[in-house]
Amino acid sequence: MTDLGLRKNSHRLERVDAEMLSSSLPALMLQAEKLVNGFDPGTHGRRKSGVGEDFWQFKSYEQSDPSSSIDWRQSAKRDQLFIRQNELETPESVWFWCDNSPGMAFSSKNAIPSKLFQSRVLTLATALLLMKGSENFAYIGGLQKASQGPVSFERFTENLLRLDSKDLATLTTGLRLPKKARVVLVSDFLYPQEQLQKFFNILQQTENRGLLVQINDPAEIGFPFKGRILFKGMNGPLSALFGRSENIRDEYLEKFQAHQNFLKQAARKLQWDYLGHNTENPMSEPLSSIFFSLQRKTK
Amino acid sequence: MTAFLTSLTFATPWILSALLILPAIWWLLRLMPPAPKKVRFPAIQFLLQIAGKEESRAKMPLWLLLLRLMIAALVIVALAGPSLNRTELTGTDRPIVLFIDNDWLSAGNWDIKEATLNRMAKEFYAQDRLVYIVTTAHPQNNSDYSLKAVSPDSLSAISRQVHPLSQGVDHRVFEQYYPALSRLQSPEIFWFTNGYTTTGSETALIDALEKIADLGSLTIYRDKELIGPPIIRSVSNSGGGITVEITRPANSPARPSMLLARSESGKILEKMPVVFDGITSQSTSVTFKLPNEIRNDLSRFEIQNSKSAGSVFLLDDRWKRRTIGLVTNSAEEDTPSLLEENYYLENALLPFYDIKKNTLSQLIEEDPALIAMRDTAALPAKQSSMLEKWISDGGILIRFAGPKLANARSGLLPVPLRAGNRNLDGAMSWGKPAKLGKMPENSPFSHLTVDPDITVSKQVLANPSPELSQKTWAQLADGTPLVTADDRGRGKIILFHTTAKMAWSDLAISGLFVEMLREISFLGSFSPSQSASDGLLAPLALLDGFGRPIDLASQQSLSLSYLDPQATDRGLYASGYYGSPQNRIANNVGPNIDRYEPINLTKVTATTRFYEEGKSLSLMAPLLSAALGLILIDSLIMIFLLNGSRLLIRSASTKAVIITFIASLSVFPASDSYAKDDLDRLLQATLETRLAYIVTGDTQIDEMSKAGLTGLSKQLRRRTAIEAAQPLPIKLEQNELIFFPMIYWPITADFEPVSDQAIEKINHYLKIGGTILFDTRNQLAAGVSNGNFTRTPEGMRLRSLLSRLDIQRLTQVPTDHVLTRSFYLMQSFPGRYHDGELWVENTLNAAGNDGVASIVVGSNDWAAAWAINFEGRPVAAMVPGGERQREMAFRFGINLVMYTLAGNYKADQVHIPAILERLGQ
Repeated sequence: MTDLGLRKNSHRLERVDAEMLSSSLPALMLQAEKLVNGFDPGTHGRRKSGVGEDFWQFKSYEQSDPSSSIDWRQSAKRDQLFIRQNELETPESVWFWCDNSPGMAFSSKNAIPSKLFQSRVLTLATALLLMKGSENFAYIGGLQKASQGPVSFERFTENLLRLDSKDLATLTTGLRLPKKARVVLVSDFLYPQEQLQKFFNILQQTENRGLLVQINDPAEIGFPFKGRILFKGMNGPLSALFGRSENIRDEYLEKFQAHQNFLKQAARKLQWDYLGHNTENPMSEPLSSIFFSLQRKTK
Repeated sequence: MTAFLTSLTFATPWILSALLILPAIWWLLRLMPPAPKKVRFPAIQFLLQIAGKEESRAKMPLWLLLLRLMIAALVIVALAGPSLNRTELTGTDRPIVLFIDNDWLSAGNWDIKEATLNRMAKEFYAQDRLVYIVTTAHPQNNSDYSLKAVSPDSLSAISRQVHPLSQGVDHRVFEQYYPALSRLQSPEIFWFTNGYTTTGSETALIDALEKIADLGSLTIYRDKELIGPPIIRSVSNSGGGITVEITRPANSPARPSMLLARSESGKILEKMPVVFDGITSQSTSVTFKLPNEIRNDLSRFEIQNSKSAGSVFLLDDRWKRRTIGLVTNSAEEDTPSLLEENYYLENALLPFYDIKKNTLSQLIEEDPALIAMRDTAALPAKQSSMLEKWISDGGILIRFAGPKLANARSGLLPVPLRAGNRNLDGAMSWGKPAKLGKMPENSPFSHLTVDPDITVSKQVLANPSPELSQKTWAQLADGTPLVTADDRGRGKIILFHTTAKMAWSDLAISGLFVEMLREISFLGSFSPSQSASDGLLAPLALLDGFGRPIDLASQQSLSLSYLDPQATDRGLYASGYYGSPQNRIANNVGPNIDRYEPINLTKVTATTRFYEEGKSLSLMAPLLSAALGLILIDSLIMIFLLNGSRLLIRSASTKAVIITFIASLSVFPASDSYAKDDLDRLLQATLETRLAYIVTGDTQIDEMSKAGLTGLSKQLRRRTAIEAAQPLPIKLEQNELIFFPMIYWPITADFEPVSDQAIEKINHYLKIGGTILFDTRNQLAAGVSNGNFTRTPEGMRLRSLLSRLDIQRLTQVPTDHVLTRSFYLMQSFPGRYHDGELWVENTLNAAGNDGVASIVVGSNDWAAAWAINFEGRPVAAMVPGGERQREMAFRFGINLVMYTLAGNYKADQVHIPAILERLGQ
């Protein structure tokens, strides 16, 4: 389907140029739009007049209104005086980050899209929903500030595919977030706990609210391996040989569970939400969870 | 299965001992764990924490272990060089002597014998052995019985040289060659026996075999199941019909068979079942009751499906019943009484003649071969002159003396007679009835034995004359002529100087009388004076061991001495006709054999082996390829195990393995697809009309021939009534030609020399009406050779080939040739090239074959012009070019096929007006 999501070799991914990325975009977008179309965000309270750049509505002049806001052109057409109201711009913005480390490209079966693909679809779908809801959103690492509208979404997708905020380490060093922003971090979070802890500490200082979305392959969750297997890291020299890998399943699951618990705990400490997703499952569920998590009023 | 195992041998059996190391390989394989499956896994960090705890050795699965052991075993067995049906040869430097029975008896299972022979020859060739071959049925013009070694080249084609002959086997060869054999150093002697003795003594044969077995080693190849063909021992004419005596070897299984009576042209006139009385009965007889007219058409008897010259009995003119006219007073005379001459004549003539009774003048009009005339006085002048004319036209008149003749002055006598008669036994005579004397040398009766009991009491006397002794065919003891004969024009007058009844002599009731009349019936068909002076008859048409006619030119055959009735070696001559077409004598197998018994080979101390059909088949390549296949399967399994199924197709290494696997399948090609005429091919060739082309071995040319004939066939279907199906390839040495109306033969400069057998086949094909289009395809290059295509390499090859064929002179196609108008009217015959000449066999003076030339020769590369590809588009460009030229090429092809199928139909003057009209004249 797409080279991007399924490609295992990380070094090849690094060489992927913009063209390849944009060619993969339609697939991502299609998935994302499909996801969004099947999703009903419910009543949306954002449609009201306020301080904004975009035209919102015309309203008949009342005495309390400043005379400078009268739209003379409109008023000249009728007998009444009209004032032009612009739409409200909310200062609150949602910031996304999608892990692009080599491990994200993993998928254990052909039928299952890679973690990277799914995380991108989820991110795009959420952003799409936000765009429709006229929310401000941005991709962490981009130079632009959070904004709303189709132009913003285009910029967002470009950043999503292009920016080299590849893994947690690069994110940790280059993290610049506005105050009181909502943050969505999508990753498998398969990093050493010390590194994660360090990152969470930084997050705590930004005083943002947010959401940790942990995406995992069923193989990582269930460890279905049997027989003599040499396990190798996705990128690097790490390897471990097991004569009978079925024997270590329980031990592995325990470790994995512990890691997940650590993440949940960290999220609670940050007053963030945690969301786990198995790539085997449909994406609509995590999408709604993300969306409603964002809907929840801050403070 | 056992046959398979017994025929399995190894070239280097000691390598098989390497199989002993298989347990060691087993142990090693079990010791070495299989390479682990490699898996990339993002959550490696957790595993690193666990690593080191679980390292227990995984066992190789049993099936994988067995697979690998099998690979090892296969390789070992393959290296040992196994092969099927290999001849077991004891030494590698001892000379080899092959005695091959190639007589009519060996023709029965010749396929198997040939296969065995070929197989052995191949191995001898491979081993570089010195080989001598002695065929036991070939005319032995090698009178000093010295052995001549076979050259290695001819060894590979040995089966083409040894061919079953219709001669009998002379098993004295073992004795005759003994001196030559004893000069060899411990020769390995093989005898391909037919399993039977028919002449000579069996004990002498066994002694001779014992003797030569002592020289070196003797291996006797024989049939697994000895089924000798039933043979026709004799054919005799009896009054009621023709009786055919059939003999078969003892203890033959009962196989229903039919006896066919065929005419000269091969038409089956009658068939009768051959029934033997139980299993033990060795001989039986079949009587054909045929109408006289048909009886004369009989040319040969043969036992159906017997495939042996012994089952064929050729009839020569001696077996033809001649019509004899018996002079009576009227056409409807009653059965003669015992007192009448005609009674005795009728009975004596009945076994050998068809008798017509009528008055003399009526008989002359009916024109029988002979006329027997009882005692008659002088004939009326008109009748006499009619009779004389009939005789000079070739009729034979047999006259009998009697009182009327004695007292008349009659013409039409071989010798002048004295008036009156000689009475030896009268009341007034002192003499006694005379006995018959020895038959004169120059008489046709000379080999008849004279019955001493026959007496002659009265006769007419010939006037003495110098020629009298020349004209005397039989005489009394005192030398008085009893039968005289004289030539008149092309006919003869024969006079019996005594009566045809008992009045003057009891000759008329003796067997000799019948025999004499029989000999007379041979007159005209054969007379010794007409043959060569030395009494030898040149072969006319001979049979091979299968009972099929052979090409005389290719057959070195001896002239048969017919005159020697004591000849015991008639069986050593090929059966067939000898003499001239007018006077031919048949030599048959059946009458010349003494007995027909299996040789008791158990009495000989020799290795006995059976003829085996199977080819010597080296199993090395198939075994190695099987091992290779297993290795590839093994590696596929490993890739599967290591990478998981989902990567099977994507992985480059997998692709490499699959490509290797597919490639390896083509390394060992399937056996020759043309191999033989199997049933499928025969049906294909016969169920539909097809054109055919000779396979040259040059793939490009063969493809072009195929495409060309495909194109021509398509045009034939579209434009004519000829529903030509897809063309078939012909491998000259293997395939039958006779099914195809026309064969396209592209000549290449390196065309393999054609074997004699193939030449024979082509000759036969041409004779029965086939046509071959020879195409040297080199008109373009011919300009280099002064425009004469015979000087090109292809032309030379063609010339050497044509020189061996039995064809007429070639001429350039004349403007009024049927080829120019058999379908289209055309005067030039372009193919891919337009200016080559077309040569055809000159059929102006040739009889038969409907005047159709059997050979058409040219250089225009017609196949290329006709060739279409699978889309139906033309393949080759025309030179100088144009679709018009291609159209003309197709027209030539259609004309040619029409010509071969419809013959000279268009040559008929009937079509001239229509043709003139079309020509617009």
